[in-house]
Amino acid sequence: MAMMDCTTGLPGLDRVLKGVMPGDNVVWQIEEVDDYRDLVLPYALAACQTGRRLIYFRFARHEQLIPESSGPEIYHPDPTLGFERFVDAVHQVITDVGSGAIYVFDCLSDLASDWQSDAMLGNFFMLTCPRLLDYQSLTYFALYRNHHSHFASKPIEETCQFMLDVFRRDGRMHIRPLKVQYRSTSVMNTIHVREGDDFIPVNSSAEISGLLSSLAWAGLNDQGPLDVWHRTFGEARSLPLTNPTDATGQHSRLFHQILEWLISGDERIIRLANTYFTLDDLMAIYNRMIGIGSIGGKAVGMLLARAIVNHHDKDLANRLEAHDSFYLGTELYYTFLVRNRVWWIRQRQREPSTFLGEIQEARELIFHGTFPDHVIQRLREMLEYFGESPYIVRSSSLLEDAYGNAFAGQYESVFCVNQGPLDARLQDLLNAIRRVYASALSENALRYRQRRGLLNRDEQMALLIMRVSGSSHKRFFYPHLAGVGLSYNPYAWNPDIDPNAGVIRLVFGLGTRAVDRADDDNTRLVALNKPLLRPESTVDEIHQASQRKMDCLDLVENKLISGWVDDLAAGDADIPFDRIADIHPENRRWLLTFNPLLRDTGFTADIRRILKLLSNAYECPIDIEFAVNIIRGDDYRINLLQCRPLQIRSDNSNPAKENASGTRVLLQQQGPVIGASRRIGIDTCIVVDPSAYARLGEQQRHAVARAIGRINQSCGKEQRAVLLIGPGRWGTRQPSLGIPVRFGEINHMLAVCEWVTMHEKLVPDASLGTHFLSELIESDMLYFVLDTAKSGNVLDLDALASRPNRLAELSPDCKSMEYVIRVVGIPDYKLEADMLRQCVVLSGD
Amino acid sequence: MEYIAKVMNEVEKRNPGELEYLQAVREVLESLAPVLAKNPKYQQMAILERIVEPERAIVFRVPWQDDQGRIQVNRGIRVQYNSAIGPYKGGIRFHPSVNISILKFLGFEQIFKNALTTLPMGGGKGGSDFDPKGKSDSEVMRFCQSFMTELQRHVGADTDVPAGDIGVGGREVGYMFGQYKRLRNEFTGVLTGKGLKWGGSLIRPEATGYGAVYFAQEMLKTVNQSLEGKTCVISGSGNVAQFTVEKLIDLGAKPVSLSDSGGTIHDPKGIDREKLAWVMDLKNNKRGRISEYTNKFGGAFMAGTNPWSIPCDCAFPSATQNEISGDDARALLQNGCKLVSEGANMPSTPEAVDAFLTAKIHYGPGKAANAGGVATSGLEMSQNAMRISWPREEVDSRLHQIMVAIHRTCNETAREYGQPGNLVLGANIAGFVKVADAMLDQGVV
Repeated sequence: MAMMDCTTGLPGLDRVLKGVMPGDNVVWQIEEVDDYRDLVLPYALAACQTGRRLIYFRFARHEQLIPESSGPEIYHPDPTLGFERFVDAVHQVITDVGSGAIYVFDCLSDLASDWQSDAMLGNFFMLTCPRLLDYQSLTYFALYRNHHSHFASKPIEETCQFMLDVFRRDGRMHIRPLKVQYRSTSVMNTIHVREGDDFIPVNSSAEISGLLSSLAWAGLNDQGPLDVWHRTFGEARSLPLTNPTDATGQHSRLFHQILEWLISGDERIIRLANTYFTLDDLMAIYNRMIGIGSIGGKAVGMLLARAIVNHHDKDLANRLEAHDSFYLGTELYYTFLVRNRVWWIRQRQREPSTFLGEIQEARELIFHGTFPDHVIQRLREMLEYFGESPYIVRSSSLLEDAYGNAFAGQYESVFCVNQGPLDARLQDLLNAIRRVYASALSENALRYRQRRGLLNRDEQMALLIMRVSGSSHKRFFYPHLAGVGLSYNPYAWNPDIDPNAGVIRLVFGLGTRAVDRADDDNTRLVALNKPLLRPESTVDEIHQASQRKMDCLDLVENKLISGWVDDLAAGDADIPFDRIADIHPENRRWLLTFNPLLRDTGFTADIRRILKLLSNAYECPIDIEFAVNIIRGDDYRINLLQCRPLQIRSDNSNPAKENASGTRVLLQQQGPVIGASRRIGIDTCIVVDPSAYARLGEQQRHAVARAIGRINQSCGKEQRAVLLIGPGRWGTRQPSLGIPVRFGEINHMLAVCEWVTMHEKLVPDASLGTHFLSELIESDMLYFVLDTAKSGNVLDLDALASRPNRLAELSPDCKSMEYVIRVVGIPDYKLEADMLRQCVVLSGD
Repeated sequence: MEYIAKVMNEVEKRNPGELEYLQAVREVLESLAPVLAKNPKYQQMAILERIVEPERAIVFRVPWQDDQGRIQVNRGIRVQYNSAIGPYKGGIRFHPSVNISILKFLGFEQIFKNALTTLPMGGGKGGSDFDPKGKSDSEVMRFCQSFMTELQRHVGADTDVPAGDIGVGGREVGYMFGQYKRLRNEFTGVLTGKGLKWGGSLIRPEATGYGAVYFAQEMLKTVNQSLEGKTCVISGSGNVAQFTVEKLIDLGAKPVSLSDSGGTIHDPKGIDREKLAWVMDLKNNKRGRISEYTNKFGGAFMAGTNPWSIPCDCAFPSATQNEISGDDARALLQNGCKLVSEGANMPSTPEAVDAFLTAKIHYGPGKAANAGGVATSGLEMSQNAMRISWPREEVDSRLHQIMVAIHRTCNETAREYGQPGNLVLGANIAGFVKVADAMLDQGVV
């Protein structure tokens, strides 16, 4: 576009501005949209006359600015679909149109209302303006004057080429250039009055002061006017604390408005929040928010759980330790990405062909990213509040912890020990936030999203910053107990266990060992209707299956550490070992069984009731994270850290369909299933042939076990997703009853099937993996029993036999075992395990 | 051999479908071909026909009350297989899988294991289909008391001396011993594996590891060598491996490896007493991974592998069955290994055993080299009978003597049957010959 072709359509205005140029972004600060229209129409007309493409983005609630008869290409991006999709839609048009076009945007001010945030409006402008500049386009924008805080006005002013006030007094249009970039600044701040097509400077001080005083100047405050977010909360704060009648409906209107903003878009979660939250609860969140927007799924889950317990059982609620949390809204995440130049990398990572590109660049930018001053100030205030108490920065994305999503565990949480001078602690906090933000763009997270076809999915990241539950024990900080709880017990290894009573996994110290699963140690699995029941029968076995390591915060080294309980805590007289441990009868050491607490206090009943209340409210099985601090004697407090609908682990968005037409079922089972529900792709199936195995001598059966161990190693190296099927019990010490592997020889298997068959004289009972239940749970392995003698249970051996045996490829030194071990590739199959229905299906389309 | 085939045929007819038992009998009988060929009297006196049939099998009801007051009934079994050389001796197993077929299979093997120790112990096995998993202490106690209420009629220090096995540890042995004492009003060595304060023996945990090293020492003595200065690789890190290392250090050898399911540590400087003490704390108290060794003491950790690729003079497989494959055996031989002493139960595959025998290195098969564990049961019986408790040194010294005797027996038997140095053959034959000769001496009973 030649410079001479560029015009505002008003020669007088062109003269004032010393000419507009390709790439100019002109922002009009208006009082009335009619004034903007008066400027847009000649601009649009001029574009048409010069044969230029005129692009009009129509999205605001005001009337249309350019009639269709004027020939604009009109696009309708929808801001209510969210920031990301709006930006995508606009930028797609800009990219498709290419260089040299003329653009008109509706007044941008509505966007701030749609996104509740002036900062998001600023982010939009910061992303869009440079792109239009790159394409050498000429663009008109408008904003209502004195309508936005500096979170919007400042970035817009910094990014645009022209910013002008426009207003009408005595029926005459006035303009006042506030910013002119790369042009003479002589006109800056000079008010011009429009006369016909000309704009005449106003020089008289009397006239200027009269005009300026009528402009309702925002004043000397540092932020300018409040945005819609803060105005709304301010309005809510001014309401009486209790308003039972709400005759005007104002209370209800504000409650629902704020609820929608703070809580994720999941309808069922919103319904729950609607039932259990009050306006006071929402105001309490607001009072601890930094930035604006949603507080994300994890924060909502934690708060909802407490509200539900409090609603239904006040006595139980009194057992809960108060949480002490702050929330960083989703808007901060966007702002951080936009202002630290990560946004476009992130957009490119949404393309399947380039999604793994620029990971390192993005991480570098994030780890060196800066935060707005006002955010740093708020974070500093938060640290002053916490003092030197440890806290944790937890991801709380929109999709995390909602119903049926599969995003759990994808993002990081970072403990901050928070010791030392304030400035150093602030740096630690900023680094922790950067780390959690970076985890959303990590290779793991991207691959996870790619595998599920979710690269394009909008995923905003809020943060939950919580005081760590616990107390100081010499140089270490940790809670007495922590764990996870499931309202439905997927580990019903004994007929006396009622799955509906729920289950908890307990650890001494920080709950990271229970949440993340420790492959070098054990947690205590407690069936809540039979809390003392455990698969180990001798003291030695109990010792073997007991926790020996713990996680805690080292207040001296300022970091999270793992170590032996014996080294870190055993000699500490402050720790109520008599409540959480039994004494080993031989070596007199503490065995972390937690039996006294489970047996002699109300803890088991309390946690069971909590799980029941929450699953009833959620109307589905749920899981929780919690910490427990024993105060004195048998008194304790439970800190509810998280609650979410029980996840079905899934690695693909296309679940296999059970018995659907055209679906091939390789294995179908109704019977005991140990492990959480999941839907996973299986690429390899290993089957030990029962009839061949039954003919082997004891030593040869051990040889089969060792071969399985070697195959297991290969599978681990190649990261295969393997289903292992074999006759009798895996891990038995008696080769007559199954395959005598050690757990380390099958630990890379995704799922293990115990096939209840051996030979005509011996049908081994199912073991349900009890001989290595603890390891099985720690490794999150699925373990199930297949009894093909039962009607409806199927294992299609013919289908397996029709595929080549790949044993020698996988493990050449096991080739001689081909007669008894079959390794079959089944990349087209998917395994679905449903712990509620206790069934497993392996099927492919 | 025709005689073996005929007996096997009879056994199959009489025990249809008992695959594990039949497999065990077949393996033993097939290994005896040279003995039977050389000693026709065994066939004339129908030794095989008699030895495969248990002398007695007792099946009994075990009623007990659970914590809810419900009456439960399990089945108790004691198979008294052979008492030609001493009272029946063999473990009691509590496990849902227990049935008479399994116990026959285990009891049959026990005859020869016990005989090989050179101690006067017959063979037997017992148990119940009771599952201790998920049972409270009180339930286990009530069950054990009920079990012994019937079993006491059939056992005794001079009749049948059971021990622990799967599902039967120190606790269960204690409950059963207490009930026996109460009913019979006598404190005798009716069970082994008892607590140290009430009739148990020292050196029980150490016995298998120490024994494997003593056996190795004896093998080296035949060529006028000792363990001093020898580089030794050890697999496993449990009791057997730990005490193998301890005894190797005592005897001046240099143990350089240990392993667990995660992999192998290799410490070329050698595992000394201080390092071993740390490993014992790690594995016995902390139950940690052996990989942590290298963080503490250096050396290399080889994830997911066994130690058989490490150059060494001697190897002590102490982890599990079939842990040395044919390839592993060839790697050991290629790297200069001259001795293998098996602390674990059948750790070498048949291919590996062939490789060792072909290379004519010193190879101590598990059934001989790890007999130290069984031997301490005999030593416990002896102490009980004498009403004394030997100090550690005394038990250790007697264990040493037993291992010397086992080696001598195997070695001499191998020589007698024309394969000097083949201790596999020697061990297979020696145990049988001892029992068979006793049966011949005692007439048709």
